[in-house]
Amino acid sequence: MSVVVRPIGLLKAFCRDRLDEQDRIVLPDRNGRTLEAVCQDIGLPAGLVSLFIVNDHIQERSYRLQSGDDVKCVAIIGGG
Amino acid sequence: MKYGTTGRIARVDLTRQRHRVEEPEENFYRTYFGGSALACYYLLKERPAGVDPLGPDNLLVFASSPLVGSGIPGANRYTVAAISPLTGFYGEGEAGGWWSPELKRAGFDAVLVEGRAERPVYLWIHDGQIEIRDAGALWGKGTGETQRLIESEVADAKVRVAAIGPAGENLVRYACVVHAMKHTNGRGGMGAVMGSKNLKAIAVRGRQPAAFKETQALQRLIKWYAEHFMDHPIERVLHDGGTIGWDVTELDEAGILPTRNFHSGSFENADDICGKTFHQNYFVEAGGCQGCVVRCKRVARSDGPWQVDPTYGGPEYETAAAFGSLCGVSDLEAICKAHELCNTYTLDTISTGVTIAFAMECFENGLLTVRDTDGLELRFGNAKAMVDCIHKIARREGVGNLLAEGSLRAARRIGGGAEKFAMQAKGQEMAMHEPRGKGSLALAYALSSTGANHTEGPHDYLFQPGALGVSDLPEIGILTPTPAIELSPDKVRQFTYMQFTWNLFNTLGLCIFTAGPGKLMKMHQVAEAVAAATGWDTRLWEIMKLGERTVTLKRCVSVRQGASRADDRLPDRFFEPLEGGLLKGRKLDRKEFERSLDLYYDMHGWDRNGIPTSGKLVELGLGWVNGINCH
Repeated sequence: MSVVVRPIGLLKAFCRDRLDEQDRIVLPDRNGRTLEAVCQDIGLPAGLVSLFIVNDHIQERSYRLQSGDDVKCVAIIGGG
Repeated sequence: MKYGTTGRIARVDLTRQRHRVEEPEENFYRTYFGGSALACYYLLKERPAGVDPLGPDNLLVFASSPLVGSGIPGANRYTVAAISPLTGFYGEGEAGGWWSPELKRAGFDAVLVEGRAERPVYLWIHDGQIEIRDAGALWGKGTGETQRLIESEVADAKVRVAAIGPAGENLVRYACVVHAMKHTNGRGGMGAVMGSKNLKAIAVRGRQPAAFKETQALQRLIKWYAEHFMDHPIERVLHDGGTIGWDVTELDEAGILPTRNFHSGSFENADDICGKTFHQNYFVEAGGCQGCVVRCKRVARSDGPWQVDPTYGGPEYETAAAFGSLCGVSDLEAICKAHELCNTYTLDTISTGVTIAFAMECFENGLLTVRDTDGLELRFGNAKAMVDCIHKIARREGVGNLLAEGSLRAARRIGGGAEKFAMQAKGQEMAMHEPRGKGSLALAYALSSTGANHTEGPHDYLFQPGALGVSDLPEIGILTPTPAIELSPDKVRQFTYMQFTWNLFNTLGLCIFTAGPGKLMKMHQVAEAVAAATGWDTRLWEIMKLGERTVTLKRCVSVRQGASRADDRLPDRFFEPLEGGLLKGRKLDRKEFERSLDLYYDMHGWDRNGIPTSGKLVELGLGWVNGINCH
């Protein structure tokens, strides 16, 4: 099974050419890859991703993906 | 020769209609530099305890800094400070733009205003001269009209004007100061202090740039920054989308988007008020400040039902959330209008939005009715009532007269338990960041001497393990980053050191978006810039101590006005579970919070009541404060 990665908001700008019409990236065969490694795979600056939400739960960046995972990548910066 | 500074501070006594120039020694600048620290020095040195914020004894300080005008990106800011009519303690607001560099070109590092004019006046400061001019024709005008009239009167289209509108004149306690219609010294009610002095504006213009010692070193840093800023993810994001482009959607997903007066961390209509929607529908162009390539400002326009005028810029994230999710409003055009009105009336968008959200919660709970609100159905989600309310607040009409006092004072007048709906610390309203999801923000809101302040310290997610900002922390002594939500001893230490850096920036007149941890320009480069600008053989250690000195000076001003640990509080709501969003159920722990305060005071050399100790004051070169009853 594949893994779905959804860059949220501003992060889309870093991988726009890879997004499908639903603003997501479907990745095959990512079993065991860490969230941090997947960011690098798709061109997201991993350090900018401050929150990973996997299947509606917060996960560490060292979390290893499993087939069918749905991942939201969120950058939280500050105020203004 | 002094480098970086003009060596001149303008002193204006509006009661006596006199002015003079003060010329401090170089060590004064090296100790207090500019901005916040300089303002605190004068407030402590010259004002008695218990100053009435809206009385003639209050001292109003406009302070630039030796780094301003050097061309370093972001070094264009200034502090407006006084005793705050909102909190009764130290108050300040910072702004970028062009006013601060122009003040230095006009020959001054700061302007100090005391007393009260009998009739409305404005100050015209140009090429070393100070004039007190009649402002009778300006009184009652908004910032746009004020700018145009002063331009005409001084016959100079490039005059920089920091002004108040009707909200400042009417002493709305969270009135701000606005220059060029879009750069705001937003917080603390400094506009009301101007209004109380019958001071409509300070217009500045000059043709003599300050001298900087190592101009080639400065130019190298400026060139390097321009070549690299788009390679830095944060600077690129700021450039491409501004603050409205980086937060609403993200904070909503994270469950920390303040919604309906901080009941929830998620807004069901977040997509309607986010950066993408803004840029698709209302964005005109990007704007910026003097010498800054990042250009993070946004200009809004609409020819739709709300008719948004681009003259007044566009909403930052704070404004979008304060009038959006916090009020349950999903009409982004109305939010842009609210922003425009605040900039022409000179209202702080954060306090205005939070105070209206407070009133909405009172209305929903029957503590206010249509009889109290002049017929306004002041319910969450009612965009028209929200915008109508802004007019009323600025003019102090009807319910606006109540809400012009700020949420805490309004709550005390309403009674019936309304205080629990007032989301404030020390009387100043919360910014649009949820402390139940950001440990440092809980400390920043409670411990800032100005009342709730989101620029008092770091926003945690950028500095948790693995995040982009972590690699910038070792140079200020933080080797072990802490998780965002945590409120541990290590978090208190991280907050403490970062609070020094954030406060340092308010003293340097430097923007937190161009430099510091998590940004392109690192702290050692900031120190190098200070050395190049001033010619002082200074290093990171000295400027970090300047940051610490700034924090303690602010505390001393507030302590002398009566502040203590009892004021370092957060609203009860933050100790109750979030009602919605990813962090639903999350709350702050009271014992953990109190332990954090103890630890924080210990780290700062303050006693357990939050009072700076004699030893700490001497260590910071502030021994003289011991003699003026800070305790």
